[in-house]
Amino acid sequence: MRIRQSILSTYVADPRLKNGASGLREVAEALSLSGLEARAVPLLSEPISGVVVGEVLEAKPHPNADRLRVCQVSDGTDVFTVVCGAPNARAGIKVAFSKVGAKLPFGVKIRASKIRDVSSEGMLCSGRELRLSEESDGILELPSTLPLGMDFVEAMGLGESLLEVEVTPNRGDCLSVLGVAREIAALSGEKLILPSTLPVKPELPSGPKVTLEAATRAFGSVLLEISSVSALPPLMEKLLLDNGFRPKSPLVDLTNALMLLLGQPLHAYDADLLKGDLSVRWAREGEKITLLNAQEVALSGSHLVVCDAAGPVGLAGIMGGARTAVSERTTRVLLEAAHFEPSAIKNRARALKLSSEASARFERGVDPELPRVALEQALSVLSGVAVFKSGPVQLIQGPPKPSDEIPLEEGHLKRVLGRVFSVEEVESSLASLGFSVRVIERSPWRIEARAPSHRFDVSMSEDLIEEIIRVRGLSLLPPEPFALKASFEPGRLLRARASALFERAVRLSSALGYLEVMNYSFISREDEALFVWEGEDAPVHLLNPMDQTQDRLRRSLLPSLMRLSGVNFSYQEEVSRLFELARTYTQDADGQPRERLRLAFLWAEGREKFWNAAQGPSLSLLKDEMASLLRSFALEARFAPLEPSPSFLHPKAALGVYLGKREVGLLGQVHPSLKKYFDFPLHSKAFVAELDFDAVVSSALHTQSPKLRPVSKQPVAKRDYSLLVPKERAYSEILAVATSTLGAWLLEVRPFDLYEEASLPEGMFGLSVRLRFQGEEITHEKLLPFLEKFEQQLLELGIQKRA
Amino acid sequence: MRFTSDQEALVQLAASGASLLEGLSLPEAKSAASAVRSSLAQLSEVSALEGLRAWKAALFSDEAPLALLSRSLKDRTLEEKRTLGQAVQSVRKPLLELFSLLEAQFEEARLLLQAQSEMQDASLPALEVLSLGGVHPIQSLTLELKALFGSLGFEIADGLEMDTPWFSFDALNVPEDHPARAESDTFYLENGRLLRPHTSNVQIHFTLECKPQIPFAVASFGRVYRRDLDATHSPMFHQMEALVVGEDIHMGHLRFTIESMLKALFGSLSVRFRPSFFPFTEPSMEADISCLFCKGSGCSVCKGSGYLEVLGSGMVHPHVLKEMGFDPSKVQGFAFGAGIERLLMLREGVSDLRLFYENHPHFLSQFQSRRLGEGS
Repeated sequence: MRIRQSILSTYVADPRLKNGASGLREVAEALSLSGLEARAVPLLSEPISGVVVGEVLEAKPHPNADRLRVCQVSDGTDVFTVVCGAPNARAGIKVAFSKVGAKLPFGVKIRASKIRDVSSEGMLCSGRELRLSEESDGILELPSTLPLGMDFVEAMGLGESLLEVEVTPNRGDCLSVLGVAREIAALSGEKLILPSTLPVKPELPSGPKVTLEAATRAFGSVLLEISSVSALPPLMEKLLLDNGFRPKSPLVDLTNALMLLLGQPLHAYDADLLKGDLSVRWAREGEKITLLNAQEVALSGSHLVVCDAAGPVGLAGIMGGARTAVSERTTRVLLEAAHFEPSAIKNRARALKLSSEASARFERGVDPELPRVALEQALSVLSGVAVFKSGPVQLIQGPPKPSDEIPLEEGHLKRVLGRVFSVEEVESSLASLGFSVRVIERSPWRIEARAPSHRFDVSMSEDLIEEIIRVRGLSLLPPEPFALKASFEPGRLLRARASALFERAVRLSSALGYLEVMNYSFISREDEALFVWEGEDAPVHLLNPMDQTQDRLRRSLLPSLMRLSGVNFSYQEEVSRLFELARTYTQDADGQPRERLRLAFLWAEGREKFWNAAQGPSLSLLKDEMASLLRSFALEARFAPLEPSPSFLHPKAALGVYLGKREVGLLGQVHPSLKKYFDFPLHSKAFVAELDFDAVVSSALHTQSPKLRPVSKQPVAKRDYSLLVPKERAYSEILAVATSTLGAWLLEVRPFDLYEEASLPEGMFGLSVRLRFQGEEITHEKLLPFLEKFEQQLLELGIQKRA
Repeated sequence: MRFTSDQEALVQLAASGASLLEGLSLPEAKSAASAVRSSLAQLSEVSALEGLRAWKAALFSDEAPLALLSRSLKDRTLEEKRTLGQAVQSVRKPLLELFSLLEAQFEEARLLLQAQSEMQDASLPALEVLSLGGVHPIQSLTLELKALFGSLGFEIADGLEMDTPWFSFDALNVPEDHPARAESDTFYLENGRLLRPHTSNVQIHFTLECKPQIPFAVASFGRVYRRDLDATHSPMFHQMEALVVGEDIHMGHLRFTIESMLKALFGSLSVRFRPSFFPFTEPSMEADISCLFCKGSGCSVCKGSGYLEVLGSGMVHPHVLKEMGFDPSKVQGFAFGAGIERLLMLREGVSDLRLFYENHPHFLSQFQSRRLGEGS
């Protein structure tokens, strides 16, 4: 809602409204602080000077240009020649005339010029050129009553500011000048000025008979026979202009202006096109209506319609029908002002993709007292600007709204606000908003209040408390800390520990040199299908995705990381080290959804070398990083080749991550065939890991840690082995042999050299390991049988001792 | 080379030993004494470990006068053996001691020299990847808020993202025909669920499933989804939610908690409350902070008002309390919710929300060197 200061000040006698822009700013702030978001903005976003009211005396085609016209424009004193390109430039209209030297928005300065050999002494302005509107389809046409030569800004009253109000869904009553004025009056204690009404004597009969069958509390109508209408009062024209209404016909403009002023939507029917009596009822399945905007709507039982004997003539409270629309041929009009129940209007316009000012008001609730006021006001305005005859105002009442007395006690108010107000303060606050208040007891006080008819949002004691504190001011709330009696009951303790583990995972992953990213939960079918764990449940699809290609929720974080890394390569980044800790989404065969946190890592490198070559991405390093991450959760992970390997990993570089027997994740080199798909450079390498973080946390919370052992002071012995290992053997196999054969004495196995040489037999590599033992009185003799067993078992794997 | 006083004393001792040898009037002793004297004289010229070792080798070699003298002992009388032996010892002992002192000194000097020449350039990055790590700004702020609320006694709870309409709307008093429920606003899933449009569903899950004893305070953080996309809206974003319920939890407590949080996050500023409307709270209010960009004097960011809207709050609606299993005539509470991205954008001066989800490394890495909240 946008209301000029000058209009507002005719509705409420607040001295601040007479006090220029600063006064309006104070009013806006007071409204904001009491719950109606408002701000004061100047009508002109940029200053304009040198523009006057002019009149086009003559408009002739330009001799050298088809689309231009050469106009003679008078400012009341002199006549100027102006070249103009607007299609509506014609003799007889009053225009905004920028003289030479005028300053317009966007830094435009008007100079005398020659346009295709015709000199032009100024410019005729469009609304857009003056920043009065976003678009324009020609030059502005000013009211013919304006005096020639008068400064344009002054003549149009553009020097003032207007109040912009944003209305919350509960306050439909503030979608009008009257409603906003009433709010200002309540807050300031100043007087609300209701528009005066001139009585009009009925000369025509009543309109058609009206029956209310559903969801209508009042239906007012009046029959009109209009011979001629001149312009609407300037106040109404300005109000329409400021709120983005384009002039249509005087009658339609009048209904719109009254809606903006009072909050009551009105509708005009061509009375000669209506057949028989009217009724308001729910539509029947199969009924159809073509609306004013030519849209055809198939109606259902949830649509409230106004019907005549031939069927629906309007979608009640939303939009009228085309069949009975007023046109240039209309002579008799039936003007309707009704009260439809908010619940009968809500969401219907939206569902039909209609934007309707009327339904925006009806669905929030329109004062049921307004239909009569609005019709009388319409007649009153018409009597000033039109030659017409009218019938009597006919008002049919539906079942009345049950008006409840709402009780409120001092103790309740204190309990909610943390402070008290006296019964006098409470009474005056509510009364200022139009509530009627009955005091039942004074100490401690107890009252009953009844909401005014325009308030649809007040039904319980809490609502009254809200009204009282917003009028008195939220700054009166006492800021106080609250007291808790929190204790660590087992559930809470578990949640607190899980939350701590979550944070630890984030911090550690970051400290390992991975950059945390956050990707959308939505994903495309193609990307999603690439990284699916063995035995995974089905993905969850969106019914109404914003982007049709991103129509499901991800089951793995890896495709998002791969996408991002591909983008990083396109930014010429050489290394990607990314991680994400986020939920993944699946559903089982019964559609039962499941959310699981996963922790995923990606390490990719392009081809540029770093001086320290040892640090490049490798499967063993990623595995060690995962192992140390899990160790910080007191978990000892086991890694074993995945058989068969998942299709997205390199078959020779895919490991499962196990905690005990449970598989909690995987890691490996991304299958080279995926590089092109994710826009990775040809020579890049990428490794990924993904852990089921919920499983990790549950293991960490429920695994018993081993008992601490005393630090041993027993002697340590070492033996070095140089081994010849077939290439298909893994270090983990040697480690397993060592652990199983060397038993309790084995302290550590340390690989200290790994080499390939031409001198070695085909298919073999060299590996040197150092075994360290600790135990009571270790001697060579005692160790020997164990070492022999170790060597024996290695031999069975084809691993020999080197000579 | 200059000797230290200890070394000088040993030189003197060796010299007087040499005098002793000279006084024995034996030709072998005399030549040994002169050998000792000349090598003592040479010693001041020795400056490195190699020279020192050569010096010792020359002095104590099998063919050196000192060795010859010792070897000649076996042919002498017992008396001579003792006198001569003592004299030889009086030379040998200080010389050997002198050698080991000097050897230690030279060794130390050599190691120092070597260390200096081997000094590594620590300014080289050793592992490039370690410098890449970082926490996402949304995560940073979330963790910071979790710590702040945890220290106020709030429990941190999680809730479902794929939830039922009942938990997301009905239980929160959002009417059947509320526009937020429309398919144009909320994402619906094939399994009859929806993607939660706010974290408020956690209020209901937490109270029904954890059955907390009143008074209690709980905060929740997480992803939420709405069908919106522009510079300040993303179809997925993050929210925080706080709920405090007890017999006498009132709006003064709400005011205090919100003011404390905003001051902790943004430092000293003024906070104001405006009445507002939400289906799940009654009364409802929005909290504004004085504009961070113009300090309240009015600018384009705050649209001239001097204030920025940061969060919505209110007293839990009686209908919602009932759904939580409480008797609204005995139990009440407050709740508030804020967008994490909104708080972050205001605090860090980021104008396009989409940057947080584009994850450009040059954007994200800048947050690693930014301060934590002034209050933390």
